[in-house]
Amino acid sequence: MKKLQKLCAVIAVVFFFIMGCKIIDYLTVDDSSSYTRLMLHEFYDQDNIEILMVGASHSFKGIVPSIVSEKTGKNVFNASSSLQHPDASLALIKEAIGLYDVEHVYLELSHTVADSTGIYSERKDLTSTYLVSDYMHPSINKYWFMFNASSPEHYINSFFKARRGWDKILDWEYLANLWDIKNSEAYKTYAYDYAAQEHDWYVEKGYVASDTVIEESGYYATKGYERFNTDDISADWRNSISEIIDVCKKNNVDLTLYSTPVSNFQLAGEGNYDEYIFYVENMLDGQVEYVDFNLISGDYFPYNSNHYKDSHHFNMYGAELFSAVIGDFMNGNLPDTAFYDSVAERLNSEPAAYYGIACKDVNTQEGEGIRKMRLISNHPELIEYRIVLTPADGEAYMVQDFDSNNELSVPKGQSGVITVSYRIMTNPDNVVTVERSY
Amino acid sequence: MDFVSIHFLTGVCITVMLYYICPKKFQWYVLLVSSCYFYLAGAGKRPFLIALFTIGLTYVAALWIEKAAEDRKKKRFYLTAAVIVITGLLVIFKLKRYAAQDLSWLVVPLGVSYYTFSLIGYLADIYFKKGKAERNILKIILYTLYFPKIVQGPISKFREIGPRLVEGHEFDYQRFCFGLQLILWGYFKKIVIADRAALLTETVFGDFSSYSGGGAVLLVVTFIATIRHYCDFSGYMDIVIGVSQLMGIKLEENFKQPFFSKNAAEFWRRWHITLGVWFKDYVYMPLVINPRIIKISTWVRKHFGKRAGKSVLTIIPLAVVWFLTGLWHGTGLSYMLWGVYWGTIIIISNLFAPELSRITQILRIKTDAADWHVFQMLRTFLLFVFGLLLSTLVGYKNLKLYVLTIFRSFGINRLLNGTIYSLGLDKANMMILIVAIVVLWVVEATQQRESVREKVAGLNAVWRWMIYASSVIVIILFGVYGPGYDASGFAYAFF
Repeated sequence: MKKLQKLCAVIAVVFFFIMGCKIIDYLTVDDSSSYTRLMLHEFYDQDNIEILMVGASHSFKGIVPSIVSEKTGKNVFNASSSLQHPDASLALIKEAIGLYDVEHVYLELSHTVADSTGIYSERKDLTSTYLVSDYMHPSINKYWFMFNASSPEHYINSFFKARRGWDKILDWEYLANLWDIKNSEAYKTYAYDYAAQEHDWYVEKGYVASDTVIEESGYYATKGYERFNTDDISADWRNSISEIIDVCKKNNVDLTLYSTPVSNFQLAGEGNYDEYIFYVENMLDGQVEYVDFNLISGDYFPYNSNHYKDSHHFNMYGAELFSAVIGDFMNGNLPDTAFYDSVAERLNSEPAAYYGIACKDVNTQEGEGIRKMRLISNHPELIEYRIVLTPADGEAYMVQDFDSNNELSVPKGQSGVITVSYRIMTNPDNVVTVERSY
Repeated sequence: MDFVSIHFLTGVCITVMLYYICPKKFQWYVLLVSSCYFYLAGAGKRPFLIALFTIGLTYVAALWIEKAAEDRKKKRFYLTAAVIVITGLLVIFKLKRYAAQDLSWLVVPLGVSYYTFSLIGYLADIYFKKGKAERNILKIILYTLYFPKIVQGPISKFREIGPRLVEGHEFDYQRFCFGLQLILWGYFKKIVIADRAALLTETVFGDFSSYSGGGAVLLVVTFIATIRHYCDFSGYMDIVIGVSQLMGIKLEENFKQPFFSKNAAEFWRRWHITLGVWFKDYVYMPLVINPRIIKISTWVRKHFGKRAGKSVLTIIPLAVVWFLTGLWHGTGLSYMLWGVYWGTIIIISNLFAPELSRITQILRIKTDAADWHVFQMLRTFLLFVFGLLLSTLVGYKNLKLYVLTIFRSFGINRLLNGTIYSLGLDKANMMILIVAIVVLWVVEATQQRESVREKVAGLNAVWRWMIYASSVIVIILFGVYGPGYDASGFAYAFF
């Protein structure tokens, strides 16, 4: 009897502890704008998932499940999330395979995630992990994922959500506000009527739409300034991909790895995207199919800046177009001729175009720093630029008259307007002028 | 090995599990292997080998001392030689930083100050025939490197703890629960109070010469620094004693609500108790009965009277004890002055006890009144604070600056306008700290009258379970550790 009492005592303490944690989570953790909360709620509520899409933001902003479903006649679910690394993708694939009769997994291999995955045990920021783990149902799969996602010093934050924002406990206004939000119908029924980010909103089955469009003056972004470096791809990234291949093979699930098309601005700016394709193909060594849609011809997918919200994410217009393309691919309706052999070949084959400005802040020895800018085009040898700068606190001045030089720099922190007039040497009379703030 | 780490907690769980799985006869081997593992993991191979060398030397010396039996000269020689070598190593490690050459290869063994004293105590007990020399060197290794106490003590006597370590224990639910409670309380003091306070005190006292926050703020920070010092050390002790209690091993208490002391002597019977006991047993008492000291006392009594002669037996041993205590804490002048400071206070209160008692009578002070006791506790607390300022917080060099800051630019408005929240602790953290200190005070005040653990154990089961669960949640939620915080090492680990 005494042993039973003691056992009950232990169970009671554990019970009170778990309940206490859940109460504090509810009171202090603001996930009222979380997309993955909605996505995973839907994920667990499907009748079946036949085609599973996983990956990072290129995927959840680029694949509209309803369009792909319509094309393929199958239930498609997009279980992607912001900066989802392959270990999280693996956990979700295992989860889906455990619950549903998954036929095919499509894993998006964004190069912008590949070079930022790093070594799991050295991770400092686990936000992208928590976006998934916080809403997975308790299971060995979930806890295995969490244990391996970081070094032990992060375990408390990983398993004890309230710890991450403990200081909110003393902010009564925050607590009161959160209480109201969490008791609202929208939160309780997983039907948010507001967007976490302006111009972005959750649609369904993991897809997040955006109506942001790139300015007519072109891109202005840090992406595209520097070459992609395959040395930054970690062994953990590769190992997780291998595990995904093994899991799918073991469970007779077809697997396709793919990359969504990023903007020509980013591809032309980086200049060496083909190295990434080569790297992945080499790594896979024919084990599974890898389709890089950055190779797809403009005849099948127009690389129009109107389809992008930034240099590498689709907006809703681009997502709808691309979803139809990938649906065709899934049905085998895209011929091999739809794809070039290399991105360089594709960019070269397209008419000369000016895409925008890639920039990077650099610290100088004097300590003040400069912002380097590079004007991006797919045919830099064919374009000449006239550049005029109008600083916010100064007079306009010409940096250069028409010249093929496409680099300039301004003091870091300076703002103003940059006016770029460009002409293509094959048609020098046609001068296009664009203006944008910097 | 950092006590505030998953590795340590996992190690303790595994050790405790294996301890109870093993037959009682072999349980101490589990402790031995665990202790060696923790030492290697925490300190590395070289310090481990140095520690083993010291233990080996002690082991041999003990056997020789015992063998020498009635040959006092031989016994004394073996004891002196061993103590010189062991202490010599300690001195080398302490003075390493003052060496002209690069001695970075000379890695200081973990817990060297503590285990050195433990081994010297062991040898002294054999010399004075208070204990027998241990034949099994593994038991000496376990006694010296026993993992919960290697970093900061308590300083135990082999004749007391040796048998407890090897005798084996059955699992006892009540004892296990008490151990867990003590561990929780230790972590509360350490990572909720001490490490949080450190964020503030390190900002102010880390570079005191550039402090400009005003005297009022400085006084508050000084108070918090004192609490931090106490919680850091006593928190560690609670974890150590609690971990040992899980396995049924009783360790000596090292703190007994010291801030409720009414005088300096009482304070040092409640603060770092085992260090005080060590100095009393192995330095003070031998000096008191030392023939040379007695000779001096006799001479003084002859020439200056009975009281003067008796005072020699107080002054000389206390002066030596406090000088050595200061040295043990640190080799810098600040620590020596600290030793002199406390030695002076205790010697004076000892020598002039009759006069002080007469003064309270003349002033008609009711010495059993509660407000008098409060005054005494406050006085003792302030004495401790000054000592802490002298040795650790500002050092003797910055003491003048400290006093000037208090009196020249008190700046009470800076205490009220939020300046204090810019010194490393924002408002939320400060609130948590204040509440935690209040909880500490309530528990310590209660502990003065009755055992808090037994009081909790006597509560209704639901309340009890909720208290346990809440304690764990509070520590996890409000502890200063992990990403974004560096677990500050235990302050006394560097002794």
